[in-house]
Amino acid sequence: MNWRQKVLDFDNIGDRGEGLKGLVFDIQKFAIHDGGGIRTLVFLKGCPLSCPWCSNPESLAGKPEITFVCNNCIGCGKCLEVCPVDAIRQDESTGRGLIIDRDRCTLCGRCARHCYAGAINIIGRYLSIQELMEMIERDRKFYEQSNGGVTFSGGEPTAQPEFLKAALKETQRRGIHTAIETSSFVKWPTYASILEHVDLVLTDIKHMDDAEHKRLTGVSNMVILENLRNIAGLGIPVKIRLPLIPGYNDSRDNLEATADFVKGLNNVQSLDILPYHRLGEMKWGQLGQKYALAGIEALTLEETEAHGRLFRDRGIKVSIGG
Amino acid sequence: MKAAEISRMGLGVPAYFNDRTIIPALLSRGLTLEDARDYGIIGCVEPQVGGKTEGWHDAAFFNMAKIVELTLNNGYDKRTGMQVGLKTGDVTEMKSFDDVMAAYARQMEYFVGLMCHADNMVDLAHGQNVPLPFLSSLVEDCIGRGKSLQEGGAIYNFSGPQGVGVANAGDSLTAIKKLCFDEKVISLPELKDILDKDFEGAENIRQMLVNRAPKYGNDDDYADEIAVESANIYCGEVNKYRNPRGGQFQPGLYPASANVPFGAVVGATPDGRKSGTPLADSVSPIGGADISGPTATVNSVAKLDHEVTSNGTLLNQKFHPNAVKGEEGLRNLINVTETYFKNGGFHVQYNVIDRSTLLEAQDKPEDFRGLVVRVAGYSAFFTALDKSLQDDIISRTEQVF
Repeated sequence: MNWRQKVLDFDNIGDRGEGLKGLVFDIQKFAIHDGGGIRTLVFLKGCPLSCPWCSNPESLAGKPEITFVCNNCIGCGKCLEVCPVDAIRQDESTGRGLIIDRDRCTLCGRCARHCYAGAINIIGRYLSIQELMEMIERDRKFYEQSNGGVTFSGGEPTAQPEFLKAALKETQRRGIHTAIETSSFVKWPTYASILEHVDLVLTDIKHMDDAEHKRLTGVSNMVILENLRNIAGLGIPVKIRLPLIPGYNDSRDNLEATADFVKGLNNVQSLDILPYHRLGEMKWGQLGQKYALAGIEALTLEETEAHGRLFRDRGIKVSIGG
Repeated sequence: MKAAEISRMGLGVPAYFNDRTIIPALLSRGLTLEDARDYGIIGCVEPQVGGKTEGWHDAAFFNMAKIVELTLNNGYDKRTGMQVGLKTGDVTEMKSFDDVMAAYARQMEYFVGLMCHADNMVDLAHGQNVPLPFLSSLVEDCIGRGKSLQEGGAIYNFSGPQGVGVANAGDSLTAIKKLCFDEKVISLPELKDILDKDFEGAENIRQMLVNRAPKYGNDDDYADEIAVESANIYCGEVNKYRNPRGGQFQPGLYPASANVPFGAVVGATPDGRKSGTPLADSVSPIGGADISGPTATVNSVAKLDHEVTSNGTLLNQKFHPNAVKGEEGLRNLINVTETYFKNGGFHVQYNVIDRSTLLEAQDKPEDFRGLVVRVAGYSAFFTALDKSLQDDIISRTEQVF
């Protein structure tokens, strides 16, 4: 069965079971902005950072989660009936939709199983390497035709190091190009062992100032920058990704500091500016959480281009949108 | 590269045809290698050798979804109140999915027979009453044989009736297999009852049919194998017949635009489709059912036998403008086409999603569930976004051009 339908199937969390399993929250085929050619993007769930602009907030927690997509709800009330712990109630204030008491919810999945309209979903599913490979192999011919491959993203893929390593190793063994999309916030020995099986690294630099980085993401950037220097030492090709968030990291000082740092690395293929977009906003609501960046407008194309020029003027190859 | 640039303009042209499938398909119909290599396209997607062929490529359009409806109604047509088909068994007697498929195959055999006989009557009438002497004078070997085209004067003679609604027939049968027999969450008579009422008061069950049964177009073998089988049964039946011009019947799978009027005469179907609504277009998946992206769609479609359908198949594939942006984007388009063709596809043409498509998706999210927002590192479907974000994307879509 295909991935999405598997998620929507009657047994919707998957078997935690024996053996090495990874917690995956999405698999996107025909990914075309994440590492060259036509790729399959595997999203691993769980992230040690907590960036308030995150466009995949369902990726943050390292455990399955329940989401409610109001658009899909047909108001059949089945979920209220089947919930064994009364964790779901109708939203009286709007008259439309549900409120889920996530503390009470045991993630038994009964509501999602009975929600035929797909309004309630359990995000995150445990997959074995073999199950994952079956899905990856489906598009092999596209990878071969397009010089594509597989990109492991997140969440933070390196937060599931054993699973990631095994998946990368097996993907490479099958002759498929591998990439990871990471914050690089991971201890170097672990990172180094993962990198043994990586052909391309897509890594973020979110802020150059350590204090600011801590304030925004909850963690220090020292490890990250040190790791990037180490990767340069190994000669593995890197694309630097800069999520450009208005008012957070788009100051001239920060962009110049970023440019200086990137110039010091000898393995950078390009710097990808990822302009802020609001597409993740509604997902925070679906998880029952507040979106910290509400009201912030996306950058215009001109503003983004102007930022791009700052890097280009310093001899750095820039692509906008990855 | 140039062709891809034109595709990217979103005009739906050019159409791409696969020699690697079409030439062997024509060879299997008795063309010489030289002639097969010299094929041209007539009508929409029908290959034939110019100056040597009377292909009668639009001999008929055949409603495959109606066959599923009649199968579930023991040959009785609710719309006209007539017993139009064979009595292949009441749904209460169908104890396994094999019983359902056997009934489907028998209805198919019966109705394809009717169609081909009717075609042949028309063919004879053409020959006797309306031969076309001028046209005949231009096609080999009418003069040599002393026969008009309509009497069998051409070197190659075919009749090509098209099956319409492969995806609806396949997905309907898949839903029955999955939900009535594998999961046993609803019995076949219960399902028939709900279809008879056009899902009135049973939206929940309709959602189950839509979301809980695998769908053709997602590279999911469960659904694809049944879709392929439902198409093969049609093609196999068509292959049995010969026309009075001394040629063979050859099936095609494309609808021109017949999928809309054909849908109007088909009641609710087990794929979750409401009564009277259009059928799926060509060999494409049902609109909104192809939720796994273009690579999965073309993988699925390529599982059909595109050689037996020598009268042509037609695939319309949509792309978000972001996916075909820049030189990289053109290469994406080429690579999808090449891979589809390597896998045995017949024809493909592309549309680029524009503002009006997205506005339509806002209106009818059901038909556009597969529309993915393609932004680096991000995962979501367009229809799951709220209105203001959708508006945002619509305005940015325009910026690309």
